[in-house]
Order: sequence, then structure tokens, then C-alpha cells
Amino acid sequence: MNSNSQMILQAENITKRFGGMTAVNNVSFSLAKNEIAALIGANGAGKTTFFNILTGNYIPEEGAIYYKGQDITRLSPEIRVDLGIMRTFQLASTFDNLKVIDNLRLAYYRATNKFSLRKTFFSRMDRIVSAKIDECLETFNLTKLADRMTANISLGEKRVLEIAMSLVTDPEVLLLDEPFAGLSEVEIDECLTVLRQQVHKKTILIVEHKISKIQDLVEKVGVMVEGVMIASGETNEVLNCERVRKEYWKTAE
Amino acid sequence: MNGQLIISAIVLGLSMSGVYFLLTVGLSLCYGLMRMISLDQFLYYALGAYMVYTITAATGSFWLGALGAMLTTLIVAFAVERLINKRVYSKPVMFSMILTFGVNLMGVGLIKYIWGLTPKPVASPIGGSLHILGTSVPGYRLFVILLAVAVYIAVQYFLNKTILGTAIRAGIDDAEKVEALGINISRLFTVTFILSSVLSALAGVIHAPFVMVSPEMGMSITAFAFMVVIIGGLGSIKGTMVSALIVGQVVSLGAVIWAPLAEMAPFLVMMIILLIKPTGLYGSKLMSR
Repeated sequence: MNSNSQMILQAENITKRFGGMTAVNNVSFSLAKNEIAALIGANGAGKTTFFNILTGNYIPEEGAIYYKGQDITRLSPEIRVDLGIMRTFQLASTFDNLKVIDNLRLAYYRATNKFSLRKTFFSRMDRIVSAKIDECLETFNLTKLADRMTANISLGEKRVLEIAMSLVTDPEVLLLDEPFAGLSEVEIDECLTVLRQQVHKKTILIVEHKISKIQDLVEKVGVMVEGVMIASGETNEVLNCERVRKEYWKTAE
Repeated sequence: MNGQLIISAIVLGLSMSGVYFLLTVGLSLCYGLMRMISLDQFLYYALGAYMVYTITAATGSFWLGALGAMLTTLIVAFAVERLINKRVYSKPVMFSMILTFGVNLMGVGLIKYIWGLTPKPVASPIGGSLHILGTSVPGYRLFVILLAVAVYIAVQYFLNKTILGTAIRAGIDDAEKVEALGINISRLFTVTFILSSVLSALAGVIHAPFVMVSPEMGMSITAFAFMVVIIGGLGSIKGTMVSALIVGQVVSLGAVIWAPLAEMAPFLVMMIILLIKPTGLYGSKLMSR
């Protein structure tokens, strides 16, 4: 058990190596319930590796991940989803060959049911009906796109759909991997609007290359440089700290 | 050339299309979801034929034989998938080709050991014939055509309407993302593989009364199966169906026009289609990945 029970997700002294290279070096970071935080750093700073350790895609060599005090370091991504940790991908993790609504239905179904082969073999997709799905379509302005094939909607719409897919499952923790990558300014604003609605309703961690877009949104920031967390804490404090200004701004800008 | 000959050639072609479709739909699904070329499907095709022969001979019922053949294949395919095939899913496609080719050879060896080299006959379970436009058409051929149509509808229904089918389609788009939803992708792989293998066995079962059941029957249909897959485009069920229809007709009508054409014409058609559309008729972006 860890000491701080207010923290919902805690990474302690995480180290991950690939061959001879240490991608993440003794990194600790924690999220309080319903906090919104960002993890920033230049390309290759190790933030995506660290993110993948939080999601269960990588197992660290050293250190531990706690979720509500439970050690989840070695649990599979699938089990972490069951516990309430949802992730998104750098490239939108929507399914191009499904209809928009079926993306939501699939995410919703999996979150509310154990995925049993017998049940899913004989149940129809369009029987997955829930006020939650309709509400999500409504909130995220996707109702008019519901029956479109996902391949035919814009990248910005896909990113919104992806966040909708995560939220329809009602997760406790939402991990977003570079949600604004490849989006236009307008699309970024739409995504930000969607995110703002969730502030203090969910625990959210955003991994981003640059802080500028989300600076006023996040309460807490961690800055990674070459696999090391050089600073973490309250947003303005961290961004004004000497070392961050010297090392992060130098590489990121 | 008379009309009766052409009608019976078309029906023959359609029944061949049925066999080709059942055999190749599995290849297509396995490539779509697991990105593997599952050459062991040809083993399950032969196994299906041998099991229907054995059980029919023992019980006198072809239908019981068909059921037994599919159940046996289900078990064998499950074992092969869990013990062997799953090891190459994450590897480049060449690994799966070599591995499943090995499984195929091993299986054919076992078949020779168990059943010997002598080809075995299987009697057609449906006698009699129907008269269509003055042409006598064997009832069993019509049955095969209808069965293939039913399987096509069932597969489309499964993939497009059921939750599991939708999850498999999602996995065809991106398996890793399906995992992120919290769905156990390895179970989806197993289900898809077994489904494919049972359909291949069914292809062997229904083909058995048309041909002599022999150890090399899987090998001899390989070229035609690949033609269907290549013309239709890997990973597309609709493409597989359309392409099976084309190849079936080219083979049977070709034979009516000039016998040597039956063997040659499909390759010609394949060449022309590939020149125009290198990914096959319904080939998708899957091919370029």
C-alpha cells in the first residue's frame, strides 16, 4: 500500500530500458482524483514510453504503478480498462470501417459487459441501446454523423469521437496521448471545448509536445527531458522554474 | 455448342464457385484480422473431406459425416491455433506462410499415414435432378450453390450485425486499438481462425462427392483458391464472393468452349485484372499496409 490515499494514480520511481537505452529514468508522477494534468516534453523525451507504462502496454524494469492504492504495475491493458483507466492514441483510435455510432456502441458495450464470446456471437450490435450513447452523441455534436462511416469524417471529428468513446465508458481516469496532433486550430478549439466540459469530472492526463494549447486548462504539469522528469507540480510554478525554462523551452521551441 | 451444355456448365461453375468461396473466405478473414496467410486452411479442407468419407462409411449418413467433419476440424484448428499459429501473429506475414505451409505438409503426411494413398469415393447425398430450361441439373449441385449463398449471407450478417463480428471488423482495422478498448484480441483471433477453418472443412465436405478424396486434394485446389483471393482482393468477403463466381464460370465455361481453356483461362483473367487493378477487385488499403 502506498502512503497517499488521495492520489488515484501514482507512478513511483519508474525506469524502462530498451536495450542499452534508458527511455524513462526513475520517474515519479501522481494524479489526484478529478485533477487535470499534462505531461510535456520534446520528441524522444520518454513521455510516450511513460504513458505506455501507465496504460499497461509496457512493463517497467523498476518502480511501481498504483491505482487507488492497488499495485497495477503488471496488469494487462485489458484489466486496467476494467478498473476504469481509458486511453486514447496519438493517431485517432477510432475504427474507420465501422459507423460512428458503432464505435461508441462497441466502447460502451465493452465497458458495461464482460466480453463473452457466447453473448457477443448471438447479440446484435444495434441492440446496444443506451441513454449514455445518445447523450454522448449529443454532447459531442456527433448526432448528425452517427450513421456515417468513420473513414469519411474529418480527423478533428475522429479525435472528438475518440474522446467520446473514452467517456461513454465512464472511466475514472482518462489518458490522452497527444490529442491535438495533426489538428487544425479550429479542430483543436473544438477538442478543447469538449475537454473543458470534463474538467473536475474525471481525472485526466494529457501527454503533449507543447504546453501552449493546454496551459490554462491543466492544474498540474510534469516536464520530461531525456527520460528524466525534471520538474512536476502546479502549472505556473513549473513553467516558471529556472530549469524548465532552460532545458524544456530550449528543446521544445 | 448447344444451350443445354451451356446451362449445365453455368450450374457446374456456380457449384465450383461455392466450393471456392467457402475455402477462400477463411483465407481472407485470417489475413484481414491476423495479417497471416493461413496455408493450413488447405489441410482443413482435406481433413473435412476425409472425415466426411470416414463417418459416412461408418454410419451411412453423409449429414452426420458433415457435422463430424466440422467438429473434428474445429478441435484440430483450435489446437493448431493455440499451440502453433499464435506464435507468429506479431511477425511479418512471411513467417505465417512458412509455418502454416509446414503445418499443411505435416497434416497431409498424417492423412497419408491414416487413410493411405488410395483415393476414396464419397457418394452424393442428394440424388435426383431438376429440369431447368430443359436441362437436367443434379440436385446436389443446386444444394451446394444454395449452401454457399446461405454461408455468404450468414458471414455478412455475423460480421456486420453481431457484436463479436463488429469487434472483428474493428480488429481488421487495427488490432491494437481493439485491445485498448479492453477486448481480448487473442480470443478474437482464435474465434476467427476456428470459424475460417470450419468453413474450409465445409468446403472439403461439399466438394468430396464431386471429386475423389485424396491426400493431395488440398494441394491441387491451392492454385484456384489463390486465384480467387488475388482477383477478389485479400480481406474482402464481398470480393471473395464475386471473384469465386468469376473463377467458377471461367473454369467451367472455358472447358465447354475448349477443354485446355479450363486450366489456363483463370490465370489469364487473373493477369488482366491484376494489370488493371493490382490490389484485386475489392482489394482495400489492407494490401498496402
